[in-house]
Amino acid sequence: MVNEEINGRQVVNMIILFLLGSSLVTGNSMVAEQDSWISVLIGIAMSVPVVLIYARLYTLAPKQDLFDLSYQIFGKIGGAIITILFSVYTLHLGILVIKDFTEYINVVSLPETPQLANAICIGLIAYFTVIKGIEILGRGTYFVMPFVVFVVFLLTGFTFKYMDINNLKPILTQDIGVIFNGALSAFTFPLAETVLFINVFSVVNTDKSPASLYLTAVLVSGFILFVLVIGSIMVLGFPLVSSLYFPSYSDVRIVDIGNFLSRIEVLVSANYIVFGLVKVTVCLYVSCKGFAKLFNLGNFKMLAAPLTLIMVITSTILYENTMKMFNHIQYYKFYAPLFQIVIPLIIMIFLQVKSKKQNAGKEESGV
Amino acid sequence: MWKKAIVIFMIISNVFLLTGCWNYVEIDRLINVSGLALDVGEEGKRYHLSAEIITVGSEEKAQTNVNVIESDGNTIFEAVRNLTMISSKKLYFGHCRVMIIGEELAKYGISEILDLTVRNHETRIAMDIAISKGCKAKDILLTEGISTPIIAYKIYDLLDTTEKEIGESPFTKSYKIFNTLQADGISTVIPALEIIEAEEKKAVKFCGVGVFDEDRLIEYLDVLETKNLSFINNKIKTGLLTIKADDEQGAYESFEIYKNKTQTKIQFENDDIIVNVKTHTEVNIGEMETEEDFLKTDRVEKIRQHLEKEMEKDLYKLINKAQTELESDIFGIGLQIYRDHYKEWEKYGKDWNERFKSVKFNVDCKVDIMGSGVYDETAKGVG
Repeated sequence: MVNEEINGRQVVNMIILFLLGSSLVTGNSMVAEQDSWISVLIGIAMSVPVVLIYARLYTLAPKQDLFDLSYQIFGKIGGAIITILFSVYTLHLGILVIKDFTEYINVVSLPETPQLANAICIGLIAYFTVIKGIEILGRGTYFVMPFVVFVVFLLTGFTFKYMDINNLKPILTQDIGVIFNGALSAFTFPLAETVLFINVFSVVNTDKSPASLYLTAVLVSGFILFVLVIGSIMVLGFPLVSSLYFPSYSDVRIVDIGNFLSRIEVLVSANYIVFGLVKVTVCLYVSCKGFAKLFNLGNFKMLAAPLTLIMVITSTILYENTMKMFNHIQYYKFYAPLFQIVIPLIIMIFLQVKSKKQNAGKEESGV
Repeated sequence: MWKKAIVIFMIISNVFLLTGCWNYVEIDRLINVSGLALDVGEEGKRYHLSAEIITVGSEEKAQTNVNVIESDGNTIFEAVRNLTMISSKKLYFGHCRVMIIGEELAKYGISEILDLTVRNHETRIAMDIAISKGCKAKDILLTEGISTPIIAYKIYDLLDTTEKEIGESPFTKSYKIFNTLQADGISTVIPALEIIEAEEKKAVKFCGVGVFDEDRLIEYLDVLETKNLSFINNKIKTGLLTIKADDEQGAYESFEIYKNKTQTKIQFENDDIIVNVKTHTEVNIGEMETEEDFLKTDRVEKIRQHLEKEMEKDLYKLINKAQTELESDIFGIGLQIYRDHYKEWEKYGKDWNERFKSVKFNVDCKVDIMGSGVYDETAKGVG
């Protein structure tokens, strides 16, 4: 097996693209209406300590992923349970993302194409990327990152003309609970999904501190998310923006500059699909690793094909229709924190205690 | 060697396999819809839909043919499907820029219509919406274009130019109308079009705005009132101000607006809502019929004061009409209270339409005359 290795900048790019993959459905963090941008800011603030936990895990136990650690700490049975839970969560996330994207393609551009056809295309690319190694994805992000960032800011620039700051008023009149509800949405979907990268970091080779890598990635993507959300609110206004499934796609549909630069939403679609591919690939990669660990397989890549098939097929039968999918996303935020905060936190505490004991032991034996 | 050949073959075969979409439609199998008109349905159906369609002729001269086709349906979607039975080809709505709603239908309610424009992925959510005044919406599409054969695009240009020139109301785009329809504290206004006869041809003319109570059309404002509405809403960009001169001759004077800024401030004094509207307009003298010399500054001052007085009178008149006759908040004062004074909105917002009638307005117009064109005096006959 070729030694997998990605460098620091690649992993930052990967996290950014991975997180933006869900900016598509930020519609669901618009529960706080015109105060949604505040929710996003709170969501970013909430995710900072959480990614610091992830970074701490790497410092305490470099080159080990979440699955190795859970076996180490909780023994065979406990480790297996956590591995199953986490792998299923990852797989489920991957299915959700595929579903999001096929639904998106279906709703906005190809209503008559079966969703399975699109799902197979996405699945195939993810499969090949995982087979060829995560470093392929790392190098790929080098290539698409400038394009993606350019398009996001280009589109914000184009929609600038249509923004109306009055749409943000009145500020902070929503219930504080509603604002936190929105913040929880932004936090769990997507910001804290960075948790998957605990497993990717085990192949990262860099001199930089993991904390700085995580923070750069989360802050940059948080900022882009914030720009997209506040842009959509200012352009479309309420109540329209809360009832649209894909607000940042719709606000670009309004752009009409000089009667010729109109209908540029295809750029947004292209962008989203790049994000989505990165996200699906990472999900597939992590769940492959998890299940390989569970079944004690030497080579996790042999699981890529069956898991891709599961993801693609399940995505087509998961929800009956678009409305149900968007309904489910509302409940996602209530169980996702278990994987995003609770499990990493417990593992970190155990590791911390262990390393202290070891240090103490060393000192004693030294004296 | 063989492996390489197979790979190359597979790559090349992709060129043939992957260049089409699943549900692709060639351009000659499509009919572009440029504009839609909705009326109350005939034969017991709810909607009567007329679509202006553009087909590109395949004759020697590639000319565009513009036709109007019509159908009925209980929903708009059904009517659209019924259109396909007439057109024989698939209709494409991506280039549809204008939707005209018939007067009669508008009186009945327009929210379902806007719902469709926002929901469908193919139509633009930034479509222009207009009301046909005194005629069926269909008739507007059947008029003859003066500068372009495509009526819908003509109307699109028309609304665009009037917005710049007369300072017309900004609520023409469907997504904005969608928002104002659902917002409390603002009444929707939508531009209205009528048909005029020009040299035995029928042509479309912009004739002010229609005022809505919730989603039902109740009244119209004429062009002048629309302009005054834009003054209060701070939407005037350029345009003309024509007033009757302050002398015995009864001559008219025109002023070209360079710049206008309107500030609306809301005060609350013991249960009274006081709205202070302050306009500041910079104008240029455009046309004069008096015989006096502009270089005398007191003359300019006199014109200025007269203009301010006339403007205030006009604005008060519109406000009065809105409060007593229309009984609807076309200025969006309620929305402004909601946005800037949220606490007061919770107190007054419940029955805003009733409350709006008792709002006190103070209008203060300030005009600066910046110049008098390229000519300093009034042209006068040498006698």
